[in-house]
Amino acid sequence: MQVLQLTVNGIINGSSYALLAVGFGLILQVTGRFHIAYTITYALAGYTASRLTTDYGASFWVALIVGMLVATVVGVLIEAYIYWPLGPRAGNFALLAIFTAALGLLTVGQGALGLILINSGTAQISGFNIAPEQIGQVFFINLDVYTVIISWALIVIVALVLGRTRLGRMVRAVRSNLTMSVAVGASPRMIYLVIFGIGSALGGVGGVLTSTKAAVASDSGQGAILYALTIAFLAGTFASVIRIAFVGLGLGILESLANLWVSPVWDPVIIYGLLLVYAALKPFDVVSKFRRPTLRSASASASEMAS
Amino acid sequence: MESTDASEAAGTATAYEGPSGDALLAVHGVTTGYGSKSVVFDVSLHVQPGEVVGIIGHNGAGKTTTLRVIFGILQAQKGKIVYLDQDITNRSPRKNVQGGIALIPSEQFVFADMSVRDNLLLGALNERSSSVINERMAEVHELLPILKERSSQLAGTFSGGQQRLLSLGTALMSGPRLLLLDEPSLGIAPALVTSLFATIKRFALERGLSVLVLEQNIGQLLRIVDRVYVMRSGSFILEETAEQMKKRDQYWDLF
Amino acid sequence: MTLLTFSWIDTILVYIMFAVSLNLLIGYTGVFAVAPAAFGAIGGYSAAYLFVNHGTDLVIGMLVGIVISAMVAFLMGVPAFRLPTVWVILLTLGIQQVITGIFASINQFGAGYGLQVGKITFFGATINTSTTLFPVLLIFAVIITLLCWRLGESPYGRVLRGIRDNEQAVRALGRPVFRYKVAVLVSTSVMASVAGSMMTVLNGVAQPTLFSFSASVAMISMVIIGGRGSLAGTLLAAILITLLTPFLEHVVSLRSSIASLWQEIIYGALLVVIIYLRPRGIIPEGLIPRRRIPLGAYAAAESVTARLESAAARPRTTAIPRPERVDLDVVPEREVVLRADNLYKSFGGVHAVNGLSFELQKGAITALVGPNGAGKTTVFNLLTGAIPVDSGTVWLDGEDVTGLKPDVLARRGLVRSFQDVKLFGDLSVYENVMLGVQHHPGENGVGLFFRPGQSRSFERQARERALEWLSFVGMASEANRTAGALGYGQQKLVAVARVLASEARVLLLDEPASGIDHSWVDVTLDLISEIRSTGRTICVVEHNLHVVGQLADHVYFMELGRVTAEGGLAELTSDPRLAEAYFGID
Repeated sequence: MQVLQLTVNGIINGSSYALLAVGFGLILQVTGRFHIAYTITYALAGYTASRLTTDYGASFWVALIVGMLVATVVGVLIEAYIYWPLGPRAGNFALLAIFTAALGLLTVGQGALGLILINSGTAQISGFNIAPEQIGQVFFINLDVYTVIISWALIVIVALVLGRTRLGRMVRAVRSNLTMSVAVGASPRMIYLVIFGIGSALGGVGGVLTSTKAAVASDSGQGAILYALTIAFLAGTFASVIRIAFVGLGLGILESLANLWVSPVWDPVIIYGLLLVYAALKPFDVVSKFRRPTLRSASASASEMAS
Repeated sequence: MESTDASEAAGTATAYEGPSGDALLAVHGVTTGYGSKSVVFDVSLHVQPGEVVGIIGHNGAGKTTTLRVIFGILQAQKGKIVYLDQDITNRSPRKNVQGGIALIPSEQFVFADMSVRDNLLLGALNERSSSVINERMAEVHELLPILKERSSQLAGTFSGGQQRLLSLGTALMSGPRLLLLDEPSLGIAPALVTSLFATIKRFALERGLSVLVLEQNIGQLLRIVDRVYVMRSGSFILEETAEQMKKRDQYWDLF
Repeated sequence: MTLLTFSWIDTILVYIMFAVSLNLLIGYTGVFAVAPAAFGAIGGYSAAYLFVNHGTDLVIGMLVGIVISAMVAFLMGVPAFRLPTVWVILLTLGIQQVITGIFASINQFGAGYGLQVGKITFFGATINTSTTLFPVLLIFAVIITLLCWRLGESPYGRVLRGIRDNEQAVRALGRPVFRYKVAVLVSTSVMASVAGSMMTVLNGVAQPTLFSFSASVAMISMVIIGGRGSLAGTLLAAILITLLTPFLEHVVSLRSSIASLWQEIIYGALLVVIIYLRPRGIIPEGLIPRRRIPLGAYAAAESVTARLESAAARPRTTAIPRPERVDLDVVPEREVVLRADNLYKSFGGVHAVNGLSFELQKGAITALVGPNGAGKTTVFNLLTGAIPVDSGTVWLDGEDVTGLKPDVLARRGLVRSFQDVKLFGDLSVYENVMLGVQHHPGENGVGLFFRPGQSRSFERQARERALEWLSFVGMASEANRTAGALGYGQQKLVAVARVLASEARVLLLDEPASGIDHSWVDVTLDLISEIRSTGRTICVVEHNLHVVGQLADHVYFMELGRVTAEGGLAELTSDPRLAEAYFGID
C-alpha cells in the first residue's frame, strides 16, 4: 500500500517537475541559453498571485492567470533587453556572459523578493480551499488533482502548438538548423522571444500552483528549477517536449519511491547524484552503444567531415 | 558610386563587355568579412533578369562570403548592393526573402529532423495565403515528384542528392526571382548533378528566374550558365561568357 | 571607525581566499565552475566535525578537508572536462546541491543548525578571539594570494590563459590541456576548502547557509566584477563587495538582515551591468600591464611592411608560375620523415579517408590538393591525432605514432597550424610565440615552485627565441601588442612564428594563404620557402593552386579520401583525368 501512496505522490510531484522542465528545456533547446534566472519568473508569479488573492480579493483562477502573464512578460523582457543584446557583444564568451547575467538577475530577484517579504511578512495564496481527497487507501489533496491536470494539459498544448502550427514549425526550424531558418526568412529573434514567453508562462503556472501549497519565500523555486534543469539535461538537449515531460514524471516517481529506503531529506542528493553519475558516464558514450545511430549524430559527423 | 571593374584592378583584361543597366542584382565594390577582418575585397558583379551566372574559384577564395553579404547574413564593410533598383545593402535576410531572393547554403540545407512537407512549408514562411502556398506546393511536387511521394518522411533520412532536391524545392516555395546557390554539386553523384542542373536551368528559362551559382565543378556549371566570374584570394580576377570559357584548353590557371 | 572593525577585515580576508583562488579557474583558465562554496563546505565541516567529535586541532581538520576536496574535484573534473562547457556549469551546480544537501540532511553534521566550533585550537592555541584569529587569517590569505599570483603570472599561467583563449591551439602546441584543467580545478578546490575551514572558524560555526549556492554566486561576482584574470581586480572586488554590508548597516543605517539583502541586490545588479558595459571587469586583465619585453636589436629588424610593399609591386598574372624545383626522384638517399600507411576514417558511414598513403620527405614542401570534400583537412586531423584513425599507421621518423594525442605528437616534433589562425587573442604577440617554445620547466608546478632559477633562465631564452622568430616573420616590432588587435595578415604571420618556435621538424600548414589578399599571400609564400631552406619538412593543404605551384616540391592529388596521383604540379595538371576529377570536365 505504501508503494501505491508513494507512486501517487511521485506522479503529483513529477507532474510539476515535468511542467517546469518542459519550460526550461524549451528555452535551453531553442535558444541555447542557460536561463537559471527562470527561478525569478517562477517566484514572481507566486508572489503576484498571493498579493492578488490576499489584498485584492481576486479569485484563485484569476490570480493563476495573472501570475502566469506576469511571468511571461518578465521572461520576454529578460530575453529582449538582457540576453539578446549580450550575444553579439560577448562573441565567443556569449554562453558564459549570458549565464553570468542570469546569475546576476537571479541574485537581484531573490534579494528583492526577500526585502519585500521581510516588510510584508509571509505571502500566502488564499482563495483556494484545500481539501483532502481519498481513493481507497491513497491520500492526497484536491490541489494535487488540479496540479496534475493543469500541468499535463499545458504540456500537451505546448506539444501540439510545436507539432501542428506554423509558429511551431518556425520554432522547430530554429531549433533544428539556425542558418537554414535564416535562409528561409524566419526571425530567430522573434522565435527566441516567443520561446521565452512560453517557457516563462509554464514556469509561472508552476510557481502559482506550488506556492498555493506552501508560502512564497525568497528562494522559492530554486530547488524546483535546479530539478527542472537536471531533467532537461537528462532527457537530452534534442528531446521532444513529451520526452522531457516523461523524464520529469519518472524522476518524480523515482524520487518518491526512494523514500521506501531513505528519508526524504536525501531527495536532492539522490536526484543530483543521478545527474553526476549520468555525466560521469556520458563521455564514455555508454548510452549510445545500446541505441541505433540517430539522425542527429549522423548529420553531426557529416558536418565534422566537411569541416 | 560605380567602382572600377575588379578584374581590371587585378591587372587582367576584361574579356566580356556585357550590359550593366537594368540588372536584377548589381554589386558595386563590396568589401566584407568577419568582425574587423576582411576576406572579400572590392567585389563587383551583376545578374540580369533570367540570367544564370556562375562564380568559380578555389576553396576559401571568398565565394560563399560574397553570397552571404548579398543575402544580408554578413554586413558589407564597403560598397553597395542594388536589387530591383533598390539599395538592399545590409538588408535583413528576412526582408530579402520577402523581396524574392532565396539562398541555398552549401551544407546542412535541410531541416533534418522535420518532414519533407514541413521543410517545404518553411520555404513559404513569408506567404500567408494558403491558396498561394498550395499552388506552389503543387508546382514543386510536379517539378520534383519525389517530394510528393515522400511527403511525410524525415528530411534527414534522405540521401545527399535527395536532400539537394528538397532544398531546391524549399527555395522555390518562397516564389523567388533570384536564386543564390552555394556549391550545389558538393557531395552528390555526377548523374544527379546533371539532372539537378537541368532542373535549375529549366526553371530559369520557364520562369525568368535569375540564378547566381557558386561551383568548383566547371564542367557541369558551363552547361547551364551564361556568364562566369573567377575569384581568387578574395577578389574577382576574370569575367567571361560561358562560350569564351568553354574554349579554354585547361582551367588549372584559374585556381 | 566602526566600518572597519576586525570582524569585517577578517571576513574580507576569507572572501579574498575564495575569490582569488576561483579567479585562477574562471579568470585564467576560463573554466566556469560555480561551486566554490561547496568546496568551502568540505573544509569547514571537516574541521568542525573532527573538532566537535574528537576535539581535533584545526590543522588536522583542514588537512582532511584538503584531501577530500582534492578527491571530489578530481572525480568531477575527469568526466566534466570531456564534455561541452555547459556540462561543467551543470555538474558544479549539482555538486553544490549535493554537498550542501548532505550537510543539511545529516544529524551528525547538525543538519540545518550546523556545528559549533567556538573553542577550536590551531596548533594547540585557541583562536576564538579577534586578536588571535586575525594573524592566522592574514597569513592564509597572503599565502593563497601569493600562490595564485605565482601560478597565474608565470609560464604556468601563460599556458592557462592560452587554454582560455584557444584550447585547441594549446593542445596543438604540445600542452596536455586536460591535465592542466584538472590540476587547476583541484588546486582551486583545495584552496577553497582551506578558505572554508577559515570561514567556519570566523563564524564559530559550520552552517549550510555559509556555503550555499548564493555564497558561491557572491564569490563568482567578485571574480567577474573585478575582472577575469586580473588579480588586482579580484582583490578590489572582494573588498568592496564584502564591505557593502557593513557600509549599508553603519552608513545607511539599515538593519543587518536588510543590509545583506541589499548587498545581494547590488552585486547581482552589478554583475549584469558589468557583463554588459565592461565585460572585462573594473580592473581588466592587462590594465596593469604585464611586463613588456625590451626589443633591443630586434626593434630595428626588417618589418613586414617593407616586404609587403615589394610584394605589392610584383606583377600579377593568371598563369600558374612554374619555378624550377629539385626533382625529388633524383635526390640521392631521400629521407622519409613522416609516412601515412593505408589510413581509414569514416564518419557515420561516409568514408572520409579511404586507404590513404603518402610520405613527407625531409626538407621538402609537400602539398595535398584535390577537389572539395576529398578529405584533406581530415588527413591533418588524423596525422596530428586530433581524431583517431579507424585503421592504418602513421610513422614519424620510423616510429609508429598512431593513436598518440596532438600534444604528445607536438612534443615529438610534429606541429600543425590552423586555417583560421587560432591565436591567443588576449595574450601579447610575444607570449603567443613563447607558447610555441617547448619543454619550459616553469610550465609545471614542480619546476615553477622548486626550481625557480631554472625556470627564470629558460624564460629568458624562450623570450629571446620568440623575438628571433618574430623578426624572422617581420613582426618583432609588434612583439608587445595584444595579438587580438592585429590585422588578419599579421595574425597569420604570428601564427607561423608560433609554429616555428616549437622547433618542430615537421610542420603541417593548413591553408596558409587563405583569407588574405595578394600582397600578404606573396609575403607568406616567401616566408614558407625560407622555412624550407632551414631544413624543415613541410606539408601544406591549400586550395589556391597558384600557391601550391610556387611552393610545392611534390604534390599528392586526393580524391574521395585516397591519393590517386602524385608528382609535380605541372605533371598533375597536364593529366586530363585529374582535370575531370577536379572540375567535373569530361
